[in-house]
Amino acid sequence: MDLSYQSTEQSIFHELKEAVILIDKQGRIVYYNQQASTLAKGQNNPGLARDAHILDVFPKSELMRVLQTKKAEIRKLFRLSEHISVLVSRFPLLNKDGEVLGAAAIIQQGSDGEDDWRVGEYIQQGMQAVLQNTSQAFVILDEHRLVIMQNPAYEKFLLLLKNNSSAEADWKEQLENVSKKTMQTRRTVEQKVEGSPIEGNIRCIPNLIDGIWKGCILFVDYDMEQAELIKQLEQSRRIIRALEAQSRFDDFTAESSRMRMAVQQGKIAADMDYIVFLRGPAGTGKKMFANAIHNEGKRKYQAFSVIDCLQEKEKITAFLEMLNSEDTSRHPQGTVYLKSITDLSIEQQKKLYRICTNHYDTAGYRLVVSSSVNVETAMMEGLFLQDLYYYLLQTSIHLPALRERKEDVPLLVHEWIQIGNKEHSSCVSSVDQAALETLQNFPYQHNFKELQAVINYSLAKLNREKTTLCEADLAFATSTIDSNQKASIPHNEDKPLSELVEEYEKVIIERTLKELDGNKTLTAKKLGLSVRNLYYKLEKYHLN
Amino acid sequence: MRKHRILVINPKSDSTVIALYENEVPIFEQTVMQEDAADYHSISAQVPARTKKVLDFLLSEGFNLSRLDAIAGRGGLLKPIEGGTYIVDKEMLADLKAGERGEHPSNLGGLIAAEMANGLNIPAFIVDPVVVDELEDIARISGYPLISRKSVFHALNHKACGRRAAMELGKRYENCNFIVAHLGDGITIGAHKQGKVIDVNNGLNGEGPFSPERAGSLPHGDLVDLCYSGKYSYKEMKEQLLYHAGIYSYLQKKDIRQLEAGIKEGSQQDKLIYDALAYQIAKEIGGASTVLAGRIDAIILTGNMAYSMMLVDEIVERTKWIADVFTYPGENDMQSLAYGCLRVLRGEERAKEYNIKLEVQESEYSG
Repeated sequence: MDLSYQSTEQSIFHELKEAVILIDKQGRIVYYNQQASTLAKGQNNPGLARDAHILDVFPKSELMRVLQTKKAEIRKLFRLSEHISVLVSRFPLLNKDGEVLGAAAIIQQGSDGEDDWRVGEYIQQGMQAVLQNTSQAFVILDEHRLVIMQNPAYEKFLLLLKNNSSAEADWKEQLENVSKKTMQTRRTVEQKVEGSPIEGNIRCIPNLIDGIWKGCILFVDYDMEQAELIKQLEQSRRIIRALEAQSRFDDFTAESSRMRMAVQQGKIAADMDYIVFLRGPAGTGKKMFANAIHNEGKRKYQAFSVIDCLQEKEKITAFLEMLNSEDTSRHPQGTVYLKSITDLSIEQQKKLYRICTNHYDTAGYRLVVSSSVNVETAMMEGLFLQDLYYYLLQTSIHLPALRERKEDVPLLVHEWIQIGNKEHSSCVSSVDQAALETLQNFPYQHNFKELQAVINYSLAKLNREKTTLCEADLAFATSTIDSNQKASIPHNEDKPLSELVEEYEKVIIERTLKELDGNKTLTAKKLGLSVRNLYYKLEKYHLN
Repeated sequence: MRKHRILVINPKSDSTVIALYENEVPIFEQTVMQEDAADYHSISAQVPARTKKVLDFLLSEGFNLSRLDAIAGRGGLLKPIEGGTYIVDKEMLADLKAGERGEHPSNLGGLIAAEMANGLNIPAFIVDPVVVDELEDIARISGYPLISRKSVFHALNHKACGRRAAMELGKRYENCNFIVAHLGDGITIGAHKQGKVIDVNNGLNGEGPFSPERAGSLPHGDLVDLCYSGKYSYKEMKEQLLYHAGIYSYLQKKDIRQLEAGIKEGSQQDKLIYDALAYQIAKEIGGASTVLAGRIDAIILTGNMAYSMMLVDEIVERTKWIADVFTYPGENDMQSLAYGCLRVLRGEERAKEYNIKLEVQESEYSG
């Protein structure tokens, strides 16, 4: 294909404001207009000439790349020199079979002449600095009203809305309406946002080029003081909920896929009436989760009661009797959370199964049950009723241990540091990477409770002026993690009594098991425990 | 000591005042507006909406409803009963819903408390409703058989003040004699004998001292003449005596602080009316002292007007010879309701049952 141009086309190219350069597939210049010649001369280059190789006369054009990539590059910012930047579009020239014949560059000048080459970058950089640092929140939308760019102030505003669902809904609706109206009218539209928890004003300016709609810019003004107060109020309410042991699903940190799935299942369960079976190791927040199911369901105005099947034997017996009775007026209202149902006797499990299958559907109350031990193992050992197991399996939700959701650990750490700072008058604002990794990889036996205890204990012992929590500052309660290591009586290393007791208990169980060649029945007998209780402790201390 | 958490409900005409107490300590108080209250065809029809609004509010603030031990509501217009803390039972609910003794926002107290308590498996109580009637038979004799003296007074505040004074004296309320003067929009002065209010002026229906807007006791002859003069209708006369009488009818002022300002500026008329107010209150207190045969542990001044040092001084000047005067300005209904409920939860008092007969029957519930 001949890339040389007839005089008519040359005239046209000469009339253009833009600089045009054409090269063949070898990189030799085939055509250039006056503007391109002027441009290239100003760059200490020998000057453009036909048949000269582009790399010799104008290497910065970067046209050789386009020959290889065969991809168009549209309106790229191109630095000609220290003070001059231009916009260049580069196109491969292909024949009908897709073979490269050459490449073309169209270099856009400023509208007022050569001075614009020099100030272009200053303006651009200056504008960037202003846009990024202004407190005025704005977002730029394209012609389809999709976001092209939003500045940090706008991102901050979005985060603020995220904490207040009512305000978020109000603002999203208004932003949508205003941008739509601007698109329809092609005029600047202003709209006040009133009656929302966060009030303010939206202004939308259309972006018209030659009268054609190219998008718009949305400016957002909101009452920052009010917004700050609302943010603090939400934080206070969250603290109150924590103190009141009143959970919601929003309170669960769920960046990990496992936890997100659990939360999703929980939200579905909240709207239903079926019995929920929560499974997960000790300290994974099963009670808190059950409370969230209650608080986000239709029984949120009613009581949430807890019965520990291990610790409250009489209460669970009376409860099961009450549910089994024909007199439904005695049935409780609200949600009843049965903790550790694997500690029910087989007879009690049979009663529970009868309750579940006979008249649970018409009951006014709702049951949520949980287990920290491996139910399958218990079932295989004859300690858990098979029928009940298969019944509950249909509606079970697994709450992962911390080791299964390591990506949530940093968020949890930061959250508890914020709470812990208030309690311990510390001012920690960050955690170093080594500390985070240690916290993520530590094999917690009590999951949340232990991680929370570590954070609290570390903050309590920390120098009040420290703002970064380092690995050396971490105060772990358990000193041994490898179950293969020979366990020893733990030394009194300034630990809480409850943790010392647990460490000692673990050591004793481990020793006794070894002495009796792993016979669990004899071990339980020697230690004065029920077999069920022993299994629970084996699970708890990872001694299985 | 075990912590009891009590929710207190005090319904007003277009709002519900709620408070959360942990033992004696108020941890939260809020007025939940009910803008659409006037749209309902009856008071009791508002129960579901008001209940939901209160519950939603508590949940949104982060409070755990399951931690509540009891709910105490303001008592409404029930049949005359003795003072005390009553468990809200079916009979009481039926009477409150029917509203046969009058429709009043306070009727909602017991209704809302019961609605909430039912779902939480906890008891609901009302405490010292306005219909408390402990008058001795002798006090009911008016001198005209067609009209019997009735007991309508600020029972909740009266009794709360009596208990407080008894505590300060190191005694039980049931073992003391007090004269309690509630000085508010209405003025009621009661003789408390061993825990019972055996005589009290009907502040709502024109007995006793005048108040900022109400006429007090009037010579019945002149009153009858005025009623039949043709100048005023029945309704107009009623409104006159309830809302356009008292201090206002003399001075066009309703707040005694305005009178005090006028007195400072030298207004003789303001001083006259002000002195007359103190005079009538003191005279009523004096009358009550004879009811108690002079055996009085203390005189108690309460209500919003008791904040006025000038008024208190004038009353004390005339009554100090009777007994010591205690001043508990204002009225804290929420606290009184909470304390009444707390006494039952702690087992210091048994909750009473509401029934047809006036005599009291105690329930099994004792906290």
